[in-house]
Amino acid sequence: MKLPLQISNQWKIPGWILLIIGSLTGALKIIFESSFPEIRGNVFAFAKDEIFGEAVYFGWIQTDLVATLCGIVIIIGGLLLTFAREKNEDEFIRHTRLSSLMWAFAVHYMLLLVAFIFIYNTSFLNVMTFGMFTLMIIFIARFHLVLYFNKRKALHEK
Amino acid sequence: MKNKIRIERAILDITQEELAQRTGVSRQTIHAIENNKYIPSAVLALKIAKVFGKSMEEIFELDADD
Repeated sequence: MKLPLQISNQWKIPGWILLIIGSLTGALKIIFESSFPEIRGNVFAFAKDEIFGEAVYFGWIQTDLVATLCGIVIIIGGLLLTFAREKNEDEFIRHTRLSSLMWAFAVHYMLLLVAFIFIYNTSFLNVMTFGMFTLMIIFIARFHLVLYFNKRKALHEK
Repeated sequence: MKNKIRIERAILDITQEELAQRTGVSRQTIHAIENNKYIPSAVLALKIAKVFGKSMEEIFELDADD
C-alpha cells in the first residue's frame, strides 16, 4: 500500500533546518517579546481586526512580520518532514507513520480538551498559538522516536 | 501472530540484514516482525517464507489473541 502525497527523501534535511530555525526564532520572539528586533513591512491581509483601531478587510496593512515568518517557516519545515519518505520506506515504516498520526491526533485533542476546561481568557490565546503546531510536532516527534529506538534495538541483534 | 523467523534464519545461517535485502525491506522491519511488534502483510509473509523454502503456515502461526 502506497501512501499519498509523499515526497522525496531529499526534503528531510531542508525540513529539519526550517523547523529548527522557525521554532528557535519563534521561542526567542516569545521570550524577548518587547526587545526582539522587528521586521516591519506592508502585507496584503484578508482581515485585520483590532480592539483599538480600524478594522481592515482585504487591504494592505503595515505590521511586524517576525511571527508571520516564523509560522510560515515552521509550517513549511514541518510539512516537508511529515511527507518526506524515509530512505528505505517500507510497509513497517508506513505502519509507524500511520500509527504516529493516530497518536498525534489523540494527544493533540486531549491537550486541547484539558486547555478548554482549565485555561481561560488571554492565557487561552497562548494555547491557540501553540495549538497550531502541536499536531505536527507530536507526529514528527513520535514517528522519529519510534524509528530511532527500533533501529537502535535492531543494531544489537545479529 | 507467532513466527519462526529467528529459528529459520539460524538454520539458513543468515543475518537480519541479509533477510531484509532478500525480501526488499529494511532491517528494522525484520527486527520488528521477529519480536512480534509488527505483523507483516501477506505479500511480505510470502516473500519471507519463500526465502526459507517453506510455506507461509510453516513460518507464521496464529496466536490465541488473533
